[in-house]
Amino acid sequence: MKAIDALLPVALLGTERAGDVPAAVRKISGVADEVLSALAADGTVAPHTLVLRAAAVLGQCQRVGFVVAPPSAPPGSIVTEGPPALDDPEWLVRIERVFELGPAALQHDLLRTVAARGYRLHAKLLPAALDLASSEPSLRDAVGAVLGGRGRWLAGQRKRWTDALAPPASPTEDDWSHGRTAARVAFLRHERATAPDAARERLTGELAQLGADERTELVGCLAVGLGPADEVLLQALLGDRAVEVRRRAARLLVRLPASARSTAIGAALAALLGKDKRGAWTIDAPDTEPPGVKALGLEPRPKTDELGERAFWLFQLVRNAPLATWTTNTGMSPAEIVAWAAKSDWSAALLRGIRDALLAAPDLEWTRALLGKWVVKALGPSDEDVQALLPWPERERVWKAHLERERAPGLLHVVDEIASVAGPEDRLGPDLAALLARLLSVSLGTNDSAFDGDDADSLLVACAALPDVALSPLKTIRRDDRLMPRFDETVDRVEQLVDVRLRIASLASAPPAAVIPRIP
Amino acid sequence: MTMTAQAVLALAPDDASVKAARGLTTPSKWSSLGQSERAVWGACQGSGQKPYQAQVDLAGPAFQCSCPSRKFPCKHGLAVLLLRVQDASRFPAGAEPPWVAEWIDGRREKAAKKEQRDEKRAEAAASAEPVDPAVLRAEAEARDEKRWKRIEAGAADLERWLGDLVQRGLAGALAEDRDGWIAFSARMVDAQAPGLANRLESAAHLVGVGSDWPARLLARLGTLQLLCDAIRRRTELPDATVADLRTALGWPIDRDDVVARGEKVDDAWSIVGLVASENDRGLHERRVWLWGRRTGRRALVLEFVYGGAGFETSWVVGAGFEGTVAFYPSAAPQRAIVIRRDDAAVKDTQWPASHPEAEIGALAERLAGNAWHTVAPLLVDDARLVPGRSEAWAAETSHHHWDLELEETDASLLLAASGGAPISIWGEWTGTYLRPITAWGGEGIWTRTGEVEP
Repeated sequence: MKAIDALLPVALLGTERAGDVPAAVRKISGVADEVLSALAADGTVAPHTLVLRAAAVLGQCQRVGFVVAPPSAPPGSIVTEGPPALDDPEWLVRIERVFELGPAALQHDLLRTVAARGYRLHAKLLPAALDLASSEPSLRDAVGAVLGGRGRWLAGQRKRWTDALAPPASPTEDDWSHGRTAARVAFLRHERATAPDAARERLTGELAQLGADERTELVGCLAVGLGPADEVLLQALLGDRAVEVRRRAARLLVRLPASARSTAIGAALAALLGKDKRGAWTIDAPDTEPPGVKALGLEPRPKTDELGERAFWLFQLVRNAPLATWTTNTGMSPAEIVAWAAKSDWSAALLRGIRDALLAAPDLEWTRALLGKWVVKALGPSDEDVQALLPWPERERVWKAHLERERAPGLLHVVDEIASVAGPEDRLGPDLAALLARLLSVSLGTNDSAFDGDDADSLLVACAALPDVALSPLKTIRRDDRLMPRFDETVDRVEQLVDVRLRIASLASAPPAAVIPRIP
Repeated sequence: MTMTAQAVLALAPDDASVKAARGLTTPSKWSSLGQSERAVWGACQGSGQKPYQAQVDLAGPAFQCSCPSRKFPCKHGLAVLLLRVQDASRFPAGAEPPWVAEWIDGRREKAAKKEQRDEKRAEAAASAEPVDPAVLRAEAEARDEKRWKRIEAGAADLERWLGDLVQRGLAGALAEDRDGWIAFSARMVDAQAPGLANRLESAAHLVGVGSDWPARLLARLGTLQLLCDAIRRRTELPDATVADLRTALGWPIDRDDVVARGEKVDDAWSIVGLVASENDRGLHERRVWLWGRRTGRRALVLEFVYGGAGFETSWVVGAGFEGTVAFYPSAAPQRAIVIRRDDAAVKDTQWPASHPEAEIGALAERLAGNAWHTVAPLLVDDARLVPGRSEAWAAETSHHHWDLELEETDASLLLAASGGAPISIWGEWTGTYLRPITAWGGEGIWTRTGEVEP
């Protein structure tokens, strides 16, 4: 207890009510006794002034006579050093800025290059790097490579950093038994990857106790390691009381072409196919609701739908049929089938159904076919979902074709697509990169640019995906006179990114750490 | 002059200027870059047709720019220096363009004319009919006495107010309107004692905060009573204590008086700490701690600027200069003015060292000497950072435990710099916590990044 605490009863209550104030002051002992006694003995001083002066004395004594506590912490660990720190002042500023502004691809490049040159990050940058690893899991390994002993020691001082650097833990039974839905989903997916039958049995045993949302999430896990053995459960789930569960099960069954359901739907579709007088394939939509709609897990028709009733049922059959149904029954290739469907009177139902079936059970040939004959009237303008099924080199061809066709007005679309799929290590091929960089260098510095502040982030991600050889058109971008500030700012950021990339390239080609002289 | 990025940014008037300047360090925005022995210059493309011409007189440094910004220095001035730090090869050495040469020549001429005027004034003063120093002294004393009268009246008011509060009891303060205390404190400003106003306001903010608020509040009120008593008995007090009293009241000794009559100390000074703060009235304060390498003296330089203006002097922690400081009179001299500074004469970095018991003793003496010191320097050598109370941090040596006032971001950087090994920490003792300002002995020099509450 501090000496001044002894005055508190009087001070809190107030000298009007506290009784004999001088006596209370005289009672305080152990600190400045003589001074306090002298103060208390002065009968000319009002009690409130006495309290304040005593407080002054005790406060000053406490202030001056502070006692420093002895140490109590156990000895801690000390860092063991590793590679030398990159301590060039220019690079310290540059790295700090890249950490602050991104994008992730540039951060990744920078970290990998620093590590490859044999450096670790300077102490000044380690907390920011660890925060980056916490917020951007894709950068965890790159950050780990530049921490050195000091960074790893530092990471051990904060749980969030330790967790960020630790490899993802495998889910445990505890997660299944006591975790929330996300943890249980992670567990079941993990088990499906190694023991799909056991995972299915586990899920089957618990379904009755689960709420609709959790059932939906966990049924989705059956997509991992899906096989014929899952048919029975999925068929049963077509009768689940929750519509989302039924939908999940239905989408998964599309991926089991040998299942009873797929076979039945295939047969129903085959029955609708015919040939005209010229021997060309025709298809007619069902006259009414197909038999066994519920058992097949087809969705009931809503009261209003832009597809008429017959078209709706055709759409339902098509979207739930494995795509092989078409090639098997008609002998046509996927591209021929899509072209044929586009000309059909039932084109909307057919093409939408084919698209949904494709998204449920991706196939590269069908993806190419559908993209090659995208009918906007039937499918809408956006083909992004289907494009996402293409491997990266093919997506680049689509983007390149788009830019060649659209030129500058196509930039926003392509940049957004690249930004949505590019990972930190992805690089565009030389042809697309050269075209993209050239178009950007012309359009960015104008007031017609599609990239003002709001779109700058996706633009920077896309620019970070350009290989070094394609960067030079963006090193110095010509700017219009009276360029509006929001466009000017975007150009600044692109040029700064390019500048950093080129400097990273020069660091990458410099001698390793042991040889580089320190800059004074 | 070679400046680091840190030194350049230390000249910025605010964080927004730092950010804006960094955003302008793209080389493609600049044209006509160049440098000479006395200047650095460049033209920066803005949104208008004509680029802004920014130039820096390296002798200050002093800045000039054709942009309309009211901030000083503006982002262009800072950016051109930053660009030069980043890549000096972009600044070919050569003849100054006319718009640079005219400005620099004009500055030199102005400085020369000022020097001539000062010389003439000094000559005139020397040859003029001397004014009786006794007359001058009497005039100054009369002015001071007038102010003391106002202060006494204010202190009397304050004493009555304090008395009323203690009579009613501090428990009642919880229910009182804090604004009432603050409104009353404005009367201290009217009484030309802003220091009393500040202390009363800060006491108001203690009420109800933390479980020990009554003890802390009572101590503060006691200090206010002490000030009132000191005001009343000032004629009985030693001059040094009266000087401290004036500082506490917000009426420090005049700067020219300090330069003329303050204790002068020549030394090679190390810049060991720098702290910035801003109050809610737009006043920026900077505290610069100096350590004299030969004398071991510690000095605190205070600088103030208002609004968008930048600090005129550049201080780089770890750098040094040969110079003279004049201390403000005090029973425990601390605040000082640098009256002579030669940066070129000191090239190396030297840090102070201390013995723990001697350090604590010196701190106690400093606090005992001036009852109204708000900050005092403290050096803790061989300290490790350890977890403290309630997720805070502490520094421990083999003998002592110091609770630290340290934000999380700064703590992470300090941990990184120390790597768990002992380091030296220069800080300010607040009475309860050590506020670390600078640390060395680890990887790099750690400096406190955030602003400090005034």
